[in-house]
Amino acid sequence: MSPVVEVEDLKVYFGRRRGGTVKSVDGVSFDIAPGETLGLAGESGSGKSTIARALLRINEPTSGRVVIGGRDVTKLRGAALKAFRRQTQMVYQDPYDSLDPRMRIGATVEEALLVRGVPASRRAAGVRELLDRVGLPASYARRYPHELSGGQRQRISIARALGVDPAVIVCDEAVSALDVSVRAQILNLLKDLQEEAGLAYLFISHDLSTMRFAADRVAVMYLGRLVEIGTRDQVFTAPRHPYTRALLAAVPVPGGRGRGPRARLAGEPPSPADPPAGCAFHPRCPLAAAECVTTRPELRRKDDGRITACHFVPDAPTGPGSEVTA
Amino acid sequence: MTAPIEVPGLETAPPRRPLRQAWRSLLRDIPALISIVALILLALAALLAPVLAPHDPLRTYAEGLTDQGAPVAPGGGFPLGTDPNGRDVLSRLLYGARVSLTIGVFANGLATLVGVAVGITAGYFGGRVDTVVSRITDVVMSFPILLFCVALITVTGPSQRNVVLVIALIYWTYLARIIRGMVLSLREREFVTATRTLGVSTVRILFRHILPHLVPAIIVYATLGVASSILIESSLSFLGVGVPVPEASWGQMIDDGRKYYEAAPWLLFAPGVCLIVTVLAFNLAGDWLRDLLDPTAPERR
Repeated sequence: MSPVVEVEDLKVYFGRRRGGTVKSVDGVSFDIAPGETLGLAGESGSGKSTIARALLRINEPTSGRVVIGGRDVTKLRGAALKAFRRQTQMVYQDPYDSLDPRMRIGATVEEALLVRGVPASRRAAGVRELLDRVGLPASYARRYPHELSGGQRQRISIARALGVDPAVIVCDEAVSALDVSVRAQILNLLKDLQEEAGLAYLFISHDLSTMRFAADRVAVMYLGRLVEIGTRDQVFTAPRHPYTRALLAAVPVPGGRGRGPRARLAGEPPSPADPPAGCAFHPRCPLAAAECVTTRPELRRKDDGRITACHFVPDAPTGPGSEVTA
Repeated sequence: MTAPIEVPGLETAPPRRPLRQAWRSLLRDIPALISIVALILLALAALLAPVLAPHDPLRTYAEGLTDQGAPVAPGGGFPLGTDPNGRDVLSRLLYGARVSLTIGVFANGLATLVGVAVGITAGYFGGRVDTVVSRITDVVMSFPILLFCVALITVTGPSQRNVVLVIALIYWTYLARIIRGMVLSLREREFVTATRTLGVSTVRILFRHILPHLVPAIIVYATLGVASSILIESSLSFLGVGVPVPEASWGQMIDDGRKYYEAAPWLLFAPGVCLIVTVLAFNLAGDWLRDLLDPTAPERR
């Protein structure tokens, strides 16, 4: 099936007041198939949320292409932009700020139907149906957000997103603010809805356990670039990039201790305003060599078919298909 | 599909009957109830001034002055006494209510309307609109208020309408500032972003998602502004560019009474108490309205 989202060489730069630019996202490419969940992992400041916001045209991409539903959406304006908005929706991180506190739940959800042009006479039924799809009783329509728990609010956010019948939903740390049991409920709900409607998800999280549960494929970001992308099992059981390995090593293991020394990451991630030359990861990388300081490794298909950006993972034999846009 | 999550006890959401809800909350808020009654009485007094006033407010009565030419104390033929010109204070108070309430409500209402509209536009759209608006407010606010009013009214001629317009012309800037700042932060809130990415029109975002959040600030400012407007008018009257004499306004009466307050304190008390009651009533009623419109306010039972 042809991908519903194709991102090609996306760059999002921000100008700074005191001069210089922050390359928040610097040449990222990926695609997502209908019904697929692509996980986007990385530390804070790595550009995950900027990608999400660029996909929704909250932030304007500096260059590159974002093709959604076969159409480049980076240049849309006016009515075309409004029409595109319905294809891509987002569930936000903060369940306390993403719903209008002065609006009843019913009105919030109804707004999505309004946008889609559902006539007034059918909207009440539509709201009931949407609440039902996210597992909330219809009586909640009369409530205000502050009367609901975090998990219930995220359900409302999801209902609102579903209301415009999107093809893609971006979940930007959508479950990070929830406690673990509620998190599982919401993740299951997202999966159910995906199966029902063939939704594609871009699932952003810094939490790798959540990622492992939710994602079909995982892309790992470091300082505005992808360093590795692969299926969930590839990335989680046999990570190739040293950064991915370090990230995975940082995940706490139930039962604790006794897995030998961890590949711990030293130091803080560098500022995206002033990224290190060569491989951005080299100051913290246990493998770093002279080459890493001078030459930036490109994202390549490696000898074992995996896609990563590291000098120390041997490239696949050159030939057609060795240059990838993952 | 996940089963609906039922939360026992939460099912009895309050029914939607806004008027009845307003009435019930008013009964629980005695100061607000008294305030609203007071405002209604004030409005009636102003409207019915010709019927209620025992005397002609503009006429100098021979019996309104003592043999020494001093004002008559309250009681007898003049319930609230007379002023140094021998005019009936009660009648002037009733007619003055017309002027003062008109100025308080209209000048301030106009300023609020313009201030909110301009503040929202500048705050939400930013850019050049914001720059222009902000500089205009800077310029207006940098003038001493009274001097500006006096200059404008000298040019346009003193009349009640001009006083209203001039006060509004100055006061909108203060609210525009406040509103602009609030909108600046509101537009970055996630629920606004979420609504925008839903594809909701800008007009709807402004009216349904931005404006309701400004209501508390608008109410507070508008109710306080009523008092300032009435007082500004009194200063203007004092300087001779307010509502033209001999028409009465409370501000004018306070200014006149000030000079004689040792000999004739009722001249100061009568309009002073009216002004205080008006201002207090607007503020208390405003507080009640603000709480009523805030769905997140705790229910007071």
